[in-house]
Amino acid sequence: MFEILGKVLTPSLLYAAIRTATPVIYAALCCAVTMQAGILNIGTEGIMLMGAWVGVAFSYFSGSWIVGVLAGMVAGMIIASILALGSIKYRAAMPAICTGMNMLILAFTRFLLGAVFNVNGTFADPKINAIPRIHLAFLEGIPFIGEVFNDWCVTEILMIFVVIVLAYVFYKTRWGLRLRAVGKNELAAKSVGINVVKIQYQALIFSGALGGLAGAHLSLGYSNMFVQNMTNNRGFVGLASMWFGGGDPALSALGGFIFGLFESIGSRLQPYGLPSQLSLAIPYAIILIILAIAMINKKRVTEKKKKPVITQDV
Amino acid sequence: MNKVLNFWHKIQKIVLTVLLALALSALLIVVFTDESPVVAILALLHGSLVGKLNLGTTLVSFSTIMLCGVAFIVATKAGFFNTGLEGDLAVGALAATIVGIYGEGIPAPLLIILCILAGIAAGIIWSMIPTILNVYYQVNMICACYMLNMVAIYLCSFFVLGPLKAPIANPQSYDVAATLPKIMKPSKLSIAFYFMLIIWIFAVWAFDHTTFGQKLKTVGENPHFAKFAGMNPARIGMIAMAISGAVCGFAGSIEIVGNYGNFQEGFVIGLGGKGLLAAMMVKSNPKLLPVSAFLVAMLSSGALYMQQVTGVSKFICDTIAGLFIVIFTMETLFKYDENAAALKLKAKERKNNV
Repeated sequence: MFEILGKVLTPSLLYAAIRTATPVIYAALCCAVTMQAGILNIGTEGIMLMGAWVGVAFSYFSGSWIVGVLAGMVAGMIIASILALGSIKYRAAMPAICTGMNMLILAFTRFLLGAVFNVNGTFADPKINAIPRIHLAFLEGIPFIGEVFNDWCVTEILMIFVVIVLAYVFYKTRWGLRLRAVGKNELAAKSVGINVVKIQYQALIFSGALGGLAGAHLSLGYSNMFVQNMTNNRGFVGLASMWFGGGDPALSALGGFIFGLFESIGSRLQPYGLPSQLSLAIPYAIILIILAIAMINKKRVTEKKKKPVITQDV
Repeated sequence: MNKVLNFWHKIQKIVLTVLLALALSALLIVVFTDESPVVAILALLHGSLVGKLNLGTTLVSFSTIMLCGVAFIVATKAGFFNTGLEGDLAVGALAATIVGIYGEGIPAPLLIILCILAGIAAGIIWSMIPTILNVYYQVNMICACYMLNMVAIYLCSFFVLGPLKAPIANPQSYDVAATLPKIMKPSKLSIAFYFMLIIWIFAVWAFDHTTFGQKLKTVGENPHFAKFAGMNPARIGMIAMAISGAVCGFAGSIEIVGNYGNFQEGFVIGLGGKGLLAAMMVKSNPKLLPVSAFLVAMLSSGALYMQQVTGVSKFICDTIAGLFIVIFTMETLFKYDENAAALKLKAKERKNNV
């Protein structure tokens, strides 16, 4: 037992966890932006999938991963604008339109896969230009750091910056303050002259860009191909991580990292007799459990905070 | 008069939405393939309606979609957006398969009842996990449901490819020991179809004519009011979700003991989504559910035939359905908004006066 654990829990596990977690972390950040504006973006799954397809397509045709990633982000923004238009201007219920959009994009990417590349299910081609991994020669010899921090994908490094930038934007800029004001209390925000509708549009479109980036990273950085339904509910895992972190970028990223950690542990336990289906199911179960624990804890804390107020009132 | 006008508005909206979705999909077909959209639609109709096998296959998926739709509507009436249909259905089917395989030797009618009961119980248990988390700890329902769907699907896949795997090449479980009689050979349609009809009729009746139906509506529309009126919204919501899970579990179990006779790996994937789609198409109106459910069933069962005959990809059908939902959920898209128009007119007048 301990022998197996010793073989599984190595420094390279951390590296693998970051690799598998990055798409989920981007998805969580995508949800966090809208959550701060009080919108639950269930469409992350669809936005990601579209970003993944467009990323692969543009990288294939242009031969440049930068074009692919940017196109994926634009595609995510377009999808998010449709969601924003539908839910804000045309009064669609957000869960309904997002669920519809997820189904639409799942089918549409399958359709496009056949129509554009004439393949069924999987599209892999040497002409797809993947996001490069950065190899730092001077880190090679160092025992722990060399294994964990070397050979990161460009978008994986970018992810760390995005987390920091988002935290800065949310808590230190005027726009972030307005965003959070809209999320906390729409009417109060309106009463102090904030254009609520504009902020909501901006939040959704911004989140679309992040969702598209999540997808483009998934198809170009993480795997270098497009498989139908390749997001495999990662968008919803991102949503769960975001709930775990309560919309805070760093905590949401931590939630995503826990998912990635257990996904990597699961896949490493397979050679030791863990059935592959169970190892695939474990991370989803874990993320639900930690989400539940976080919410139960939150309830306990809020109840504790409430108590003195009530006694004062009495 | 107003009622008639309202009705016409509704019809107008549905027709316009259908036309817009069809136009967009026709555009897709024209842009990406050489086929004419009309040929594709004719092939779709042929593949889903003509012949006993085609019609029977459509009706098999129709009955599952109907049950999922009913399950979704029950939860919606109580204010839950139940995206966990697929997971409930999967565990229901798994439970029925396990009972059906290991209960060999029990008289057939009894075994079938046991299978269905096991499916229902599994569905209830699985749907209670997110409900309890949501009602007591405010864990987001949609999130929890999707996570549990994944766990359920992988769990089924583990059992079907592991302990229950039949010693043949196809990824499927052993056959269950007893199945319901078929009614439209050579398709897989069984008398479970009638069970579905009974459940649907009962649901339509119960929503309007029972106290519980009224309570559900009150809780779904305004939980605060329900609380003041002396109801317990949490309890009623949980019962509604339990019913929803039970119906899904039932749907899963009759797929096994009724239609297929064994658990085919991955057959549940997408079924819950289709039920959800059908229910959303009619705005959770149980009376109209058969129309949308039949439409969705036709789209899914005729798609393969259409692809084989015309070369138009079968995924165009799901794309059409998705397009339809996205357009249809936009409440005010085709609505002539009187208030907004009046406001605009007023603003114009004011401008003119100034």
